[in-house]
Amino acid sequence: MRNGLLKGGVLAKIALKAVKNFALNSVDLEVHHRETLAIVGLTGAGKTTLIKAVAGLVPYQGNIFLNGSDVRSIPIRERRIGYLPQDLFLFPHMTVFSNVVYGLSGMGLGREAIKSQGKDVMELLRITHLAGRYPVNLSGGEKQRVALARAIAPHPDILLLDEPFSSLDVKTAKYLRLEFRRILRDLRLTTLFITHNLTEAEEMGDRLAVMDKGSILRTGSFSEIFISPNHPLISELLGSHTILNCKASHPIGNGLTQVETGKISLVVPDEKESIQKVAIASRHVYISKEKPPGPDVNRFLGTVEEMVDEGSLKRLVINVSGERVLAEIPQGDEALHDSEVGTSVYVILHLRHLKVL
Amino acid sequence: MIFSTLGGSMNESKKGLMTSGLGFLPVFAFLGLWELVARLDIIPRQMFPPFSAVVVEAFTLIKNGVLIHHFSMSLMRVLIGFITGSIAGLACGLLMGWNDILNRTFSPIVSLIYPIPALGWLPIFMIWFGINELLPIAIIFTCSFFPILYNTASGVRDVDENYVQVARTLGQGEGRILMTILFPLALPSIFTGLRLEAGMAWRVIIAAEMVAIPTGIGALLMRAESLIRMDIIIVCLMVLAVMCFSFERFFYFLEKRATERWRIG
Repeated sequence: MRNGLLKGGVLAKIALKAVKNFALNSVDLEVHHRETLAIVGLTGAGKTTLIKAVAGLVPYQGNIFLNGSDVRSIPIRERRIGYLPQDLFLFPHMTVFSNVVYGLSGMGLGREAIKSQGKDVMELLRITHLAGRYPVNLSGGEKQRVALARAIAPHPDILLLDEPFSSLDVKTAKYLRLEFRRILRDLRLTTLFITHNLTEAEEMGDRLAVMDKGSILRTGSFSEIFISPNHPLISELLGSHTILNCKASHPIGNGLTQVETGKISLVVPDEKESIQKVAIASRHVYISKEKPPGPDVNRFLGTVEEMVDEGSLKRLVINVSGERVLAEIPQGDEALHDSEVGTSVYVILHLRHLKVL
Repeated sequence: MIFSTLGGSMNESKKGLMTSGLGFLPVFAFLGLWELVARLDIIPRQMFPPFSAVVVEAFTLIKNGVLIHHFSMSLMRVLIGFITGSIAGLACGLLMGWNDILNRTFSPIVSLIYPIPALGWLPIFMIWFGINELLPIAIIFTCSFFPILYNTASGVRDVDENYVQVARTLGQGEGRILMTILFPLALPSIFTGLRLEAGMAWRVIIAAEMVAIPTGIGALLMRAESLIRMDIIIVCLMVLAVMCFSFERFFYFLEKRATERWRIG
């Protein structure tokens, strides 16, 4: 990296008032050095326009500072930006290797240096075996890797990722998110990551910025935003969750922690030193009238307190030893056949869906 | 496995041979029918010579050097006019497709001149250049220049702007983007122009030579017409057909070589 700022220092300051022909109203953002800032918002929120403004691809009113310099006076090719557009736009007439080293060829490097740096990046992305192939012969996941390799090969100061996983199937997207996250952390790249998917934002981002109608509504850590959304749209994006206050916690080994809420005791992943709250999305609360097999960990007997039909879903409030747990199940789900308010049900909270805040 | 693969490829090559053989079948049938009808003498032979007589005449014309002389004159004119016209059209088309100001300035002029048939320029060029070697070359140049310019410019303009934007963020200058992104991605459109105009150049040169030039296949055609030598006329038309076909196929082959691997995979 060209600059020597420590993590936490501000790499980019974005203060935009408007972007010509686009609904971008007021954006005030700081991107810290070596962090991944995930910008999350619904379709049409202005996320892509924002990222294009930073890349210099759309005219704008306001200021964008990168490394302390206003980028308006810097030609796009000298901004040291890595840009990965939503549709990737791999150059179809170039092989994978030529795509990857394309950005290096304008840096005045020798042929051998280009070759060696290209090989390094391809090894990092595990695409060395694809070097001679053309994009037309690549799978969706392979194309994503090649596009990221092309974007990071010239060692950009800031990487702009515009919904890179939106066209992939759920499994591939999940796998690639973890891999991209690892690479971004290893390379300590400052990244602006755009998505409409909160799970992606949480997995990829160190911090979150929520965007709507061309404005930034909120920035902060996922926990901060989760605990106090402070905006109806953010609540909508987060979906309905049960949030349990943590009164005491102690590690029990194997990467797990026992958490006491005062009313119930549950086991959560050992992800934080100080656990304040534990959250679980309603859609991830599993319900059964029969006692589920296996050890009694994160399985509780409760009583249905409320049951409301909402379109294709049935929303429930279940009282578990005084804790109110929100759940939703599809209409007609056999798990709750003939159930009504007052019915006893088992509540199962899967470990991997518990969010430690 | 190896045997089955080999068997498969042999079957495929056999199939290919059979397909091409089937393609030639109507040609042989046509030539046979022509020979047969001509030999029935329903039409006088000087008006409708048999195919064999045309072949004999072709050999005679080759042997005495007449066909080679006229053919080489036409070929030289086509090559010089087509190559220079294509290069100029390609260069101007790239610039017009790349630069919006150039495009907006010259596009109306090109749109006006482009539809004029190449032979329409003949009277003007006869006055400007006189009747010499420059005349057919200028006609072929004009015939190639405008269509190739048009196809190149529209091919470049049709390249998705996002490719250019990505290239810019990768630190590339405009000139390099033109040569490494826009030009290769416009190749399919450029080749369409080259393929069509390569055949057209031969059609135009023959017409130009028939009207104004004393040498070349077109001139030989006119001389044969005045001597009522139908066999020579047919030889000339066959040369024209072969050359149009060969030029078009050559550019088709080049296009496949240049773009197929990244377009089809």
